[in-house]
Amino acid sequence: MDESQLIARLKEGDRAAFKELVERWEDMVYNTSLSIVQSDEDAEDVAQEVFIQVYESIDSFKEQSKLSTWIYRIAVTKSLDAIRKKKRKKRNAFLQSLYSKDDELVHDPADFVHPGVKAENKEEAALLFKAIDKLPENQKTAFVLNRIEMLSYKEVSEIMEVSVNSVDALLQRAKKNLRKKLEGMVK
Amino acid sequence: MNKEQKIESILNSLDGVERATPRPFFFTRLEARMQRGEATFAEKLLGFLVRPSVAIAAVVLIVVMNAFVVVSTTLQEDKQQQVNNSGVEIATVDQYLEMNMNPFDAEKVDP
Repeated sequence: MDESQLIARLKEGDRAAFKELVERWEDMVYNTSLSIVQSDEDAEDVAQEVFIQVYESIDSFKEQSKLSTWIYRIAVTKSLDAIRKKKRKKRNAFLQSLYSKDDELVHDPADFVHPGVKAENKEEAALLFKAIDKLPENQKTAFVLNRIEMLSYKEVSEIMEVSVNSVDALLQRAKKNLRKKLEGMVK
Repeated sequence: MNKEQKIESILNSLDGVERATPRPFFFTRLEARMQRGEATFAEKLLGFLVRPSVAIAAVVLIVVMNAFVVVSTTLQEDKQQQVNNSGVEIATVDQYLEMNMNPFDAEKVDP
């Protein structure tokens, strides 16, 4: 089934077409979400939300871009929302811990290790992901899509709805910032 | 390895990274969540409808609507009655004119 047929069937509410869409793009959505939110559990949750939104708002998809571009866009937006929500929760928990009687500490989750990283690089990649987590949202998005999802500058520019030159600038700034952050982390 | 080389090595640690995949049966879990979501919506709607404030407001609304229907029907009936009454009056006027017809006109009609 080609993309336009799939879209037409999705718009008719065809459940089998939805299953095909999920099976076709679940790895892409999960990997993007996981690289941004850096937690298996949150990535699964975000990936499910992405497909629910695709199912519910397929009628609003005007086919001005590829379906995968639209899905990537939703995945990035949902992942960044999940991070914001988590940070807000963490901040509230911290404030509550300041006023609560029991000295309950709020712990940072353990270092994230992307399961697709080669075994010999896992230790170094954990440090890199810590630095990626501290990047501004647009630099993080460009870096993840280009370096982990292996998308071209053009594909990244279509997903982020910016020019190819802007993607180039974002990636250069991301690398510069990562280098700076790693300098403080490496002894 | 000096610090600069170490940083370079860290920056290159994603070389050859493979796509992460979700746990098996992702679609089954997604479907279950979507069904739960639909059930939750129905439950929320039912929960909203059985709230005392909503139930009282619904009863008041029904009473007001009934009262409106009764009042408007009564008014309509009164109006109809008035129309009927004015019809009787006209008939009476016609009868009056007929009864008080000029005798010369009658002559004109019936030579």
